[in-house]
Amino acid sequence: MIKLVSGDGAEFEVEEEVAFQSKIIKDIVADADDVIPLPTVSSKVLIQVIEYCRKHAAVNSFPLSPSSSAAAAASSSSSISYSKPVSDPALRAWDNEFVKLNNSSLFDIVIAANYLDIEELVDLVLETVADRIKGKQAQEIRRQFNIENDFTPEEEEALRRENSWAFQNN
Amino acid sequence: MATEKTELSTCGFSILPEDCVSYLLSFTSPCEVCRLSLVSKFFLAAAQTDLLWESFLPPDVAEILSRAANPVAYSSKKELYFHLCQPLLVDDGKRVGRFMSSAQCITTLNSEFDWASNAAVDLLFNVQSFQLEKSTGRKTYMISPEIMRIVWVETPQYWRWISLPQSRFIKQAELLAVCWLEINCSIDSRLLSQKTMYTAYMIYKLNPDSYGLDSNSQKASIKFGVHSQVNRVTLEPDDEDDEEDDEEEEKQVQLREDGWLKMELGQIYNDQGNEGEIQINFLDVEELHWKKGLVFAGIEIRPTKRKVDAEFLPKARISSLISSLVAALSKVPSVYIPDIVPGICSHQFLNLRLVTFTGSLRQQDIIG
Repeated sequence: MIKLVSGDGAEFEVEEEVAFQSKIIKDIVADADDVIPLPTVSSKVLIQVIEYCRKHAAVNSFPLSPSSSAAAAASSSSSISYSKPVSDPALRAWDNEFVKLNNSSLFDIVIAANYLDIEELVDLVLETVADRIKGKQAQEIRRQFNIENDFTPEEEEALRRENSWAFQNN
Repeated sequence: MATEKTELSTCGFSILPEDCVSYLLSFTSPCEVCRLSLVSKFFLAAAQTDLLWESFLPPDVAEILSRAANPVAYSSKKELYFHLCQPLLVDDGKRVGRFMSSAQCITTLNSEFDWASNAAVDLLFNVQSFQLEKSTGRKTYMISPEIMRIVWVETPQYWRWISLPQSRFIKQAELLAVCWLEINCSIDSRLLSQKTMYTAYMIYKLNPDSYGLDSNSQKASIKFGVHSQVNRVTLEPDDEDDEEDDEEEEKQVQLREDGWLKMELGQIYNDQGNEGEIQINFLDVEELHWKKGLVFAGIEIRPTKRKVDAEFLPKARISSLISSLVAALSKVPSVYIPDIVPGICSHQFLNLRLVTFTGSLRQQDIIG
């Protein structure tokens, strides 16, 4: 078992294969009884991340042989990794349920997943957020995510002109 | 708890690293990204990164650039992307063992173009034109007649090579007179974008004194893997000015802005790009009367235009649309039924067809 300690001091004992969904943890763990402090991750977020890792560890442990996971690791070394579609429909359905969260929770999770290097979780969350912004106008996105418009009206107009082609097919 | 929530949500996007937002934007499309750059300065910065635009460039962009007639200069991946949205002349890619049979190569070299004697034997320059579709980044190719198999093209009294201004390629094939009109073209499916519906078009003009090209026995066929499609076509544009029907089915022959005509030859779906060559043929050989006056500029294969994006339509709405479409099919005379039935299996096909019919359906008040 590996012990993960959240920023607010809560301790979570998880099986090795669950913790190893995070590439960072996999790299730094030397000893099976390691305690790993995660100062930037709150316990609320860590619970969600562990839930995800536990589910994926259970499903992935069957099809992934050591050699194929090594191949996957090698292929993901490029600067842009395209999301590998999760092929198991049951797991995909589970993922879809998992990301039914508000935007700020999703942002917290993606920051933790990025920090822990859990590639599939980063992809899952970012794709979910991308789906929420697709097809919307800038004004709607600002309202939805509480973003302040820091352009002057002239700057905004110039940008709109520069990208006018992108507004035409709607 | 409630106050904490509000606090967190005001942080929003700004707590994410810029790379992360760039990566997020890569899940959208170039068109979306350009619209979203208006949200805030932070979005604008994330919408400009090389990381993002590299994801919109085709995976084989380095190979495409190496085939370019003129070197492409760019200072960022975004600039390169928009550069590639303009036509880029490339060679036939034969260096990598693609495209032409040696027999075709010899035919072409024996004909009378000046560059042929100087060109490397196994490489034909400027015979394909590559372009990205701006809003999606999908690949479009146009193929020069010079690397097609055109029956009788090497016989000077039947065909000749000319150079018209405002053309993509240097040479166009002008039909002087034949009875047997046959054009065969192929493109390696690996060159095209995956998971994309493509439409092939013939790009041409008709000389004022053209004749024999309006027969109803002209056929276009498109073969790809196990799929094969034969369509009745006619090069002669439909002159009727029925403007009221504008919204309805697209005309088979359309006049492009650059003055060339384009005629739809057929459609294929490129799934993984591993099904080998796409064969596109045009045949007018059933009625063997004399034909003349066709100026043939090439064949273009481009992503099929989607007018409605299914991603923005709730699923329930789509299925209700399908059922109303199916119900309406028998009542709409202009509908080409064989095409639509398999289309219902595929979203892209469906989108494409949806709009075509919306116009006609609206009058009948089928869609509420």
